[in-house]
Amino acid sequence: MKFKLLLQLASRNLWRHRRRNGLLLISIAFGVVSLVFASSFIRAFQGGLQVDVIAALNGHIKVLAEGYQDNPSLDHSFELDDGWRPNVPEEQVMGWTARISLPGAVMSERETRGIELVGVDPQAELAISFLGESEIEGEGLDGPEDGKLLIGADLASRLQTGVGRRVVVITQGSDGRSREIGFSIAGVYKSQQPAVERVIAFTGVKNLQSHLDTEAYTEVSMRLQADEFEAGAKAAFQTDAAFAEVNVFDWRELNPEIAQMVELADFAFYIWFVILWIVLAFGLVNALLTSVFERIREIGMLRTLGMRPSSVLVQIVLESQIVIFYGLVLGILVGAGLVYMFRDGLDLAGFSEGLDIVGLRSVIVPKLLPSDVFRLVVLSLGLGLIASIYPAWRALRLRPLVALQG
Amino acid sequence: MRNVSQATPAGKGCSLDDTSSSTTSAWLGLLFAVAWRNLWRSKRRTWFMAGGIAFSIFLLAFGSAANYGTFNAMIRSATDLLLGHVQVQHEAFVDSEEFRHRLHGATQLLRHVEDVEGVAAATMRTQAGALMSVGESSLAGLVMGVDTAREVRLSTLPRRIVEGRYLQASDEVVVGSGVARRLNLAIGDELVLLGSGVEGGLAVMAQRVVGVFETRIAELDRALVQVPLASMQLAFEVGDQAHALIVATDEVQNAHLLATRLNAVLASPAVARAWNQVDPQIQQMLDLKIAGLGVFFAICVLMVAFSVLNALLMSVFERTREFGVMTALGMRKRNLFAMLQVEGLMLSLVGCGLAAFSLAALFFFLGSRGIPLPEETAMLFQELGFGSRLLIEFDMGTYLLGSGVMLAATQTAVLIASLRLGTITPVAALRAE
Repeated sequence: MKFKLLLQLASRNLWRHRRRNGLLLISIAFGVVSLVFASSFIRAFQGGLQVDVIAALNGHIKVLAEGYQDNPSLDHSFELDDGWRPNVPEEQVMGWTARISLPGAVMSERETRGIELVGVDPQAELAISFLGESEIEGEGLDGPEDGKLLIGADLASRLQTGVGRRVVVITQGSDGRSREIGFSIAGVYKSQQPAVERVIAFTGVKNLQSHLDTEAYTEVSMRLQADEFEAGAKAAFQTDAAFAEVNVFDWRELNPEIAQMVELADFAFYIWFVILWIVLAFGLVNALLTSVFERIREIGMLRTLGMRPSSVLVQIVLESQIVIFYGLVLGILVGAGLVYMFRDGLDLAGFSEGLDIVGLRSVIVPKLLPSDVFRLVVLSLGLGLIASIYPAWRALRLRPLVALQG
Repeated sequence: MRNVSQATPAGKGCSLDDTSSSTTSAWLGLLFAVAWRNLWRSKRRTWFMAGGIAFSIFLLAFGSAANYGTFNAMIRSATDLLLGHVQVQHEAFVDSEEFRHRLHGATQLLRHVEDVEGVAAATMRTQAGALMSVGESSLAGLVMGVDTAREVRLSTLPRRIVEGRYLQASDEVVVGSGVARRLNLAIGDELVLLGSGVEGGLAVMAQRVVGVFETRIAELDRALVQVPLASMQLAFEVGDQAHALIVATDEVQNAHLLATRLNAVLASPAVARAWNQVDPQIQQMLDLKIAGLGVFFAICVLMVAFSVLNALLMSVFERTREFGVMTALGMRKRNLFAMLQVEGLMLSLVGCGLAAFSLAALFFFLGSRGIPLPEETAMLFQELGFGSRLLIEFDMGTYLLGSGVMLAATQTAVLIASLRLGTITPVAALRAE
C-alpha cells in the first residue's frame, strides 16, 4: 500500500480522537519543553564551567616546566627569547601570554594569607583571562614593568587592606631563598569566581623578575578563538623547539575534575531523557493500545479486503510518530520561548556557595544548541518507535475473521 | 473488551442509589466493590496508569534517598572532622573570620557551654593565617590552636594521622600532607610559623613536626597545621581567648535545636550557629539538588496526570452507554460521580502500593551498602567528600509526599474527566455506540 495513503489513514485516525490525541500531544510537549530547558541549562553549566576554568589563567593550552606542578618554584621554569611567537595561526588565537606564577604569603598589618603571586603583562592578560571582565576599584596595572599589586576584593577584605595601602609578599627567589617584596596596592578587582578572588594577586612580570633575580617564566598560556583549534595548537606547542623541557597541557588535563563534571553533565541529559520517556511511554502505549482495540472490526475489515499486515503495522507506528512529531514541534517552540525568556540569565544566588564548590557561577544563562534540538528529535522519534512496537504487534496479531466477528 | 452492554451492572446500579434503605457503610462497600471491579475491566490500561504513577513516585523517593545518602555522608564527615555540630564565635568573626574578633574568657565560656543540656562534647580553637617556613622554603597557610585532650574527643582529625602521631607537648605541630609535601617536611623537623598577632605585632612560633595528617580535603591538607592552643595563645599574645568553641551533640539533626538553646544562655558578642550556618556550602549544594529533583518530579507528575486524564476520559467515553443505562434506571449522577472518584483513588493507591513494593525490594537488596560507582565517578565523589559509593538513605517522608502529590494530581484528573458525566443524557447515551 502506498505510504502516502497510509499517512492519510493514520492522520485521519488521529483526528477521529482529537481530544485523546490532543492530550497525549500536550503531555509529550510538556516532556519536550522540560528537556529543551534542561539541555539548554546543562549547556550553560558546561560552557560556564569551561569558560571559567579557561579564564582562570589556564587558557586552552598551558605550557609548564617539568616538575612545576609538584613543586611550583623558579627551579621549574624556562626562558623565552624576546622574539618568540607561538606557531599557531593568528586567526585561531584570542591571545597568549607568558607569566611567572608562584605561591606566596601576603601580610598586611593585620592578617597573613596564602596567595598565588602572578607576574603578568597586563595588556595580554586583559584579552585572555577573567581580568578582562572584572571590575577594578582603583587602577589596573600599567605594563609589565608595573611594580604595584592588583588583588581580589575578597582577599583585600580578609587582609583589611585596600587601594593605596601597602602589603608585604613573601615568596621564593631563583636561588631558593625567600624574598620579601613590599607592594603598594594599585587596585582591587572583583571576579565572578570567589575562589580566584581569594588567591590570585597580579603584578608586572618584568618587575617581578627583577625582584626574583631571574629572566625566566613559569608558564605560557594561550586562549583560542574556538575549542576546535585546541588539538592543532597543542601539537604546535609540543613541536616548538623553544619548549624542549616543558610539558604542554590542555585545560582538561590541568583540571580533570572540571573536565569530568563537564562530561557527567552530558550524561545527566541522557538520564533525564530516558526517565521522562519512560513516563511518557506509559501514556503513549496506553493511548495507542486503546485506539487499536477500538478499531478491531475496522482493522479486520481492512485485512479481509486485502490490506497487508505490514501496512497495518506501518499505520499504527505512523500514528505514534505523528503525535510525537507534533508534540516535539510544540514542545521545542515553547521550550525555545522559555530559553529566550531567560536570556538575561537565571539567578541562583540562593545556592551560590554550593555552586561555588562545583565551580559554577550563580547567574546561569541557558543556551539552546541546534545540535541538542536535533538529538532530542531523533531520540524521541526513535524511542516513540520502540514504544509503538507492542500496540502495533497487537494489531498485527488480530486474525481478520475473528476481528470481524468481534 | 468493547462489549459494554454485557458489563453493565444494571441491578447493582439500582441498589447503588438506594441509599435510604441501606446503611451508609453497606452503600460505601458496594461503591468500592463496583469501582474496584470497573478498574479491572481493562486490566492493561489500569496497569499502565498505575505503572506511570508508581514509576514517578519511585523516582522521587529513590532520587532523594541517593541525595540524602551521599550528602548525609558528606555532612557527617565534615562535622566530625572539624566543623562540629554547633560553633560559638564572636559575632563579628562570623562574616569576616578576622583574627581580631575573639571570644574573651574562653575557658569560663567553654565550661558554661558544656553545662548546657544536649552538649556531648566541646572544645575551643584559635586560628590565624601564617607563613610556614622550614629552611629557605615557605608556604602560607592556616595555623589552628587546639586543646589537644578535648580535640581528640570531638574531632576525627587526630585519627587521620598518616605519619607520626598527634599533638602531645606544647612545642609540637601536626601538618597537612600537602604542607608536608610542599615544604618537604619530615617528622622531627622544626617548622617556623610567622603570623600577624595582636595590633599588627609579629607572632613567631617554632614547633617540632610530630605528625602528618591527611583529611582528603585538598584545601585543608595543603594549608592547615595544628598546634597546642596554649602555645598559640602565648605566641600570639591573646591570653585566654579563642576564635571558636566547637560543640558536638548526639545527632547532627539536633544541631539547630542546640544552637537555639545555646543562644538563650550566651551573652553578646558570643553567638552560636549550627554547622550549616557556619559552612553553608554543603547545605546549599544539597538544597540545589533537592530543588532540581523537585522540579523533575513535578514534570513527571504533570505528564502522568495527563496520561491518567486521557485514560479516564477514554474509560468514560467507552462507558457512555453504560452510564446512560444506569441513569435511565434511576441512578443519580452524583453517585456515578462518586464511583469515578473512587476508581481514581483506587488507581492511585495501586500505583502507590506498587511504588512502595518496588522501593522496599530495592532497599532490601541494596541495604546500607550503597551502589558501587564506576572508578572515575567514584574519584569525583571522593573529591567532593561523598564517599566512594552511592549511598542511599530512604526517607519515609519523601515517599509519602510523593504519593500525596501523585494522589492529588490523579484525583484532579479524575475530577476533570468526570465533568463529562454532566453532559450525558440517558436517551442520547443509550443511543451512543
